[in-house]
Amino acid sequence: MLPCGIRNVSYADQLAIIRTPLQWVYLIVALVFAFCLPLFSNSYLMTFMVYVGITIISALGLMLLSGYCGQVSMGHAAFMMVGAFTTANLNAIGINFFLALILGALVSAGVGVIFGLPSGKIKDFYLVLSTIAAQFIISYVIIGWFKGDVGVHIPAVQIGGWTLDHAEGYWYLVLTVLIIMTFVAKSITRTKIGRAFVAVRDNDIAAEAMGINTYGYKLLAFAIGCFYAGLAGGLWAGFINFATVDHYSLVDSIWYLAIVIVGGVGTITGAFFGSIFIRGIKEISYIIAPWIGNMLPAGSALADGITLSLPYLFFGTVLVLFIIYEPRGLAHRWEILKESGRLWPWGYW
Amino acid sequence: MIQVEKQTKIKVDKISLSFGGAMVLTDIELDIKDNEICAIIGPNGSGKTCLLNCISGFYKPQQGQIIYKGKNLIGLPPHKITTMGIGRTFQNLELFTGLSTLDNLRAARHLFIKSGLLASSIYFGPAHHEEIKHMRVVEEIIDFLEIEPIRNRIVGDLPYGLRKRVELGRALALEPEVLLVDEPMAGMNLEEKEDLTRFLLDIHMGTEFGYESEFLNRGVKCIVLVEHDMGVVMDIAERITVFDFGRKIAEGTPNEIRGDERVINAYLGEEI
Amino acid sequence: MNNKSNFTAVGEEYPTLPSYLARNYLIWGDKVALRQKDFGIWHEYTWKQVYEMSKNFGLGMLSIGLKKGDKVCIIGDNEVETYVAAYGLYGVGAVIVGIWVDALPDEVVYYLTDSESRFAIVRDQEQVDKMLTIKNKVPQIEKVIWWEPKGMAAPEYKNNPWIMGFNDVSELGRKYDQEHPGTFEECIKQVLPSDSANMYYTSGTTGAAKGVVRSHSAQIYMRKLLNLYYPLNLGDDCHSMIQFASIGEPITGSTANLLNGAVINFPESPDTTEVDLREIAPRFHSLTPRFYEEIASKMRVRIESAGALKRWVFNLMLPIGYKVAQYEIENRPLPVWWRILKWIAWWTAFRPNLDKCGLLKIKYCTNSGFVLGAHTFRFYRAIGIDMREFYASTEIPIIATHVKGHNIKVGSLGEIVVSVEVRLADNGELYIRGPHLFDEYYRKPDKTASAIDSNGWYHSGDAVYIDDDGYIFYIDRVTELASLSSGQKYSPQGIEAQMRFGAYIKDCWILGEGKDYVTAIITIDFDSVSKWAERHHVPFTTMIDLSQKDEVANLVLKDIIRVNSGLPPATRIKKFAIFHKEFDPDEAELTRSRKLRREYMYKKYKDIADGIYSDNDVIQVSAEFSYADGTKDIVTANVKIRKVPGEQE
Repeated sequence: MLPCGIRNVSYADQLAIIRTPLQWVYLIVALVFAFCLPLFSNSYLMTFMVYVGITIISALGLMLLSGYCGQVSMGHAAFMMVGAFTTANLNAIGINFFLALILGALVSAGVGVIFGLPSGKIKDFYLVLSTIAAQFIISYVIIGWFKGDVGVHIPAVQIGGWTLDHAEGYWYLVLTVLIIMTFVAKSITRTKIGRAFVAVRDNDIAAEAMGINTYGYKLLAFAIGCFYAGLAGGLWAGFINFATVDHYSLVDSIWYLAIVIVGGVGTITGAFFGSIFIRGIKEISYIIAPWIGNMLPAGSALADGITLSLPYLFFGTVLVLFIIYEPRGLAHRWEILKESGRLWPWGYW
Repeated sequence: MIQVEKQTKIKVDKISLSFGGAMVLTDIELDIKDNEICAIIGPNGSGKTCLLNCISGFYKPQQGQIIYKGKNLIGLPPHKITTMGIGRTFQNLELFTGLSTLDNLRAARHLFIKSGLLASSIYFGPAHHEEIKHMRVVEEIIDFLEIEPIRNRIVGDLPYGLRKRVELGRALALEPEVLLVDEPMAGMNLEEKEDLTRFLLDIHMGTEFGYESEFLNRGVKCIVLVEHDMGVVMDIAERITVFDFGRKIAEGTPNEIRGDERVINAYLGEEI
Repeated sequence: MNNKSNFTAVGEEYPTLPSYLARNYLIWGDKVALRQKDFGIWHEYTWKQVYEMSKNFGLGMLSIGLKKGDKVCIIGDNEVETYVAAYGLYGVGAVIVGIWVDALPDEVVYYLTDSESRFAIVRDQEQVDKMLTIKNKVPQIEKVIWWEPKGMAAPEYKNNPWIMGFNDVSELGRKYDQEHPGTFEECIKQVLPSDSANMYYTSGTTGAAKGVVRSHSAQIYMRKLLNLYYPLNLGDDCHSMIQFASIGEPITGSTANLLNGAVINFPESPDTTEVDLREIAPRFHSLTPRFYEEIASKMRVRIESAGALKRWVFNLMLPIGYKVAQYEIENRPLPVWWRILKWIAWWTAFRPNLDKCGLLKIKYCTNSGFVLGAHTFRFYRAIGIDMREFYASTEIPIIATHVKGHNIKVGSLGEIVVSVEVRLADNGELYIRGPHLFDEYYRKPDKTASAIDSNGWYHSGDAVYIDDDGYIFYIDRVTELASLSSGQKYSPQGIEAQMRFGAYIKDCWILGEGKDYVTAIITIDFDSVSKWAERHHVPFTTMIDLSQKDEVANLVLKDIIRVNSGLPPATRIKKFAIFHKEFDPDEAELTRSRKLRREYMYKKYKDIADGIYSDNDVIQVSAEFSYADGTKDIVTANVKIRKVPGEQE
């Protein structure tokens, strides 16, 4: 709902996302804040922010694939792995990091299309199984043929004269990529491709009747989603200066799916909400777990067990609660809150 | 008045369709002509919707051909058939219920938007221009069907009668040369039926001027109407085909059908 | 004759309405004049464009045979084409006769014949069909011109020479302008200030409707007077919803557009008006109490159904609003403490509330037609709207109003405006004189003579009371003042207006002329009463059944007691009945502006109008009722007569 007096004089107005001066102010303040973040935070927080930023990039991809196009993928972390290892291996043979990053993302997109091929014939639950298969197959392939067993080292990333070997510096790289990729994702959702994705998700019979090549768009969704994943994987490898299979297991794929669900299926802001929320919960539970473990008899199996499993317990509970009470995610709840504020002091319009 | 010989738009040539052992359509032969509203009537289960699904490409008949623009439609995927100019509505309304009216109509403009992945990723520039152009087309359809008040409402929240109109608008947005309408009057009260009939006639006749979109001004010249409501059918159809148990049992003008004994026995029973 | 001595003369350089059109082309050429929402977005038309379109249309009309001084009627909702046609017609010296969109075919025949119109400009297929049904009865109409193309492609319209499209007329005009450039400008110069500009038909509460003829100078004087009290600037947005059939149109629309440069905005369709109103954010509203009460109750309902926090904040701020409004009404300066509170209340409650209604940018609201109930009047002032009463009639469209910076006496119509003189006759009737008085009732010289006497005083027919400070209080129409058998006078309309403030009461008909006491026949608001019945577990089947329930009668009784407390004992309501159906303008029981047509009602419902004074408890009422498709039926109901306790001697 727009403020009183705001009119659309052209279709460009009607399509625009930012309609009032106040919204411009919000955007600029947010960007300035993000860029100035390193100035008033410590290394721990910046590492967390880099981690969150890369998560958001990957989550955007999964959001487009699963949230918008409805092709639920439980292999997303594997595609990040493809990107990480491609970037690392290419960088190791002398290719510039940034070029390797892009190539890694493209390779990941290609692999995504291959594993998306079954989507022409199978849907829903069975497609999810095939993505789980992707998770494992890719792991084995990388371990077997691409030095996945020992990992690949990446030297610190250099731009011009700067070496991005610390969180503050790397943050700017991640932030820039994040801004670009968010813009691209939002653009895609506003055009025919985004609408085709949603059509395929909501009603693929009707989508076919509208002239949408549903199989083609499902493959495109895999390609785009896995491109984002590969990009995120490469960036992560560049940050920790190492590509390893440990960070991209099935459990991580499930974390990403949780981000999409908790954040809000089918929204761009959902990727942001979900990433910050889930990563936040993870961090908090890592902090709380030892503290709770200390309350129990020291050295006992229970104490150790709690410390290790609390994050998962916590996370599982949160996920289940969300699915029951907030199935449309945080983004939806945020929209309702905003709308209620816009309607102030009325209850409905 | 000189009766101009009408061109055949779609030739349904002896198609038969069976599911497992059940013969759903047997030896159906039908000439769907241009510049005509042709109706298909028949009892429930006589195969009318199946025929439409065959033409749209959702079912594949085991025998026969469907010739349109010189090509056999059988075996082509549905989206390809839509790009060739055949649009349809569904008996049970296959709308995108999570989207607004506007977005449902814009989804149908898919065929006409040329922006690829690169243009869509950048948005500003060619993709933006196309969005604006097609927004205008969609707004003209909204004006034509008088659904301005609901343009931003989520389709899932709309009453049944308005959803039907959105479905019709969505099919219209495909700029079809042939429009297949599947039981549009189902569940409508008298006033809604009158409104929908008027819209169908307006769609057929075209508005001649008043819109920038040529297809609205031109009108959809070939309409195939599957319908139960005899009043509507007798009113607007120029030719009627009657189905029973998957076979065509009669074909002719409304007057001929009204008096046809086989039809009366099979289907109509009482006086119309 | 027309008193101009207290007032600057009508601008000599711009003596007529079309002369303003020409001026605006020169001084405001690229500024927005009109704005129409179509196909989802607002299309803007500059003065240059409006001038060109009006010129083409006006010249086109000349091409098809229009002569200066001809009457042309316009039937249609307000859109760009309505105004372009109007301005074009002004330019070529024609007189515009406005007719209501929902006028019945017989009414249209009357208006067209009485005004001697030669052309009809209508909006759409529905109106064209209406004209076709009455074609034989209006032979003097040479052409019917339509502008909304939907449905007009059918051969029966295209091949009919009587019917023509707006664009075709404009095309003829464009060619004419190419062949004879400067004609339109010449025509504008030929129009004299004393020439007639518009004709408005007054609502026929008594007898047949009369065509009020108003000259260009009268319209311009009216606008200049309005500008003294309600100034509008270039670019101020107005919402056009009053049709050319009403004097409200020039008050809010065309004259504001032409003289002040206010932009007129047209919503997309009647169904989207509420949404569009928020986008227009008009500066000025001039409406009747019915509208204001609807908007106020909409506000209340929306806030009542909001969450606890929203309700709490609003209800906390409302008393502040009332207190501040009281200072403003009494024209006392606001103490600093209240100024701070006012600011807080505005930003937390009132501003967002007005934003939702579309009233955020309102500079002033005027109320005319009936006096706005004191409660509603104060409510609007409390929530931040500068609401003022406005006393006007079609014949002399501004007599009195509340003046900014002066005391506002709630319940009054304000002070007499500058350049208007008034006099009270012996019977309490108000006589008025002013430069914006109308010329005549068309072709009714006897009615005109009885309205405007030889000294130029207009006999308004209103009984009023003017207090020592010069504030006017409206009592009733002189003819409406009724007297009981004892000679005691009372105002049926006044009592009815008071009754209508009841939440469950839709309308009221007061009887008592020549009788011993006053009685009331009341129609309930079926919506709110049926909800009330549901909540209180009162079962009912139809409206007729609901209307006769004792519980509903008790509900209504509360309002009767409220109204009675403000009346002298002799004129209090002693008996009442709840009518089984609503009063309906389509049944000619109400006029188009929803005023009760007493003579007709008395004839139609004689059985209950007399029966309520008998000793019977129940009266059977039968009346003929026509359905929308023309078939007629007799509806019978048994209406209970109830006594008001405490008023029986």
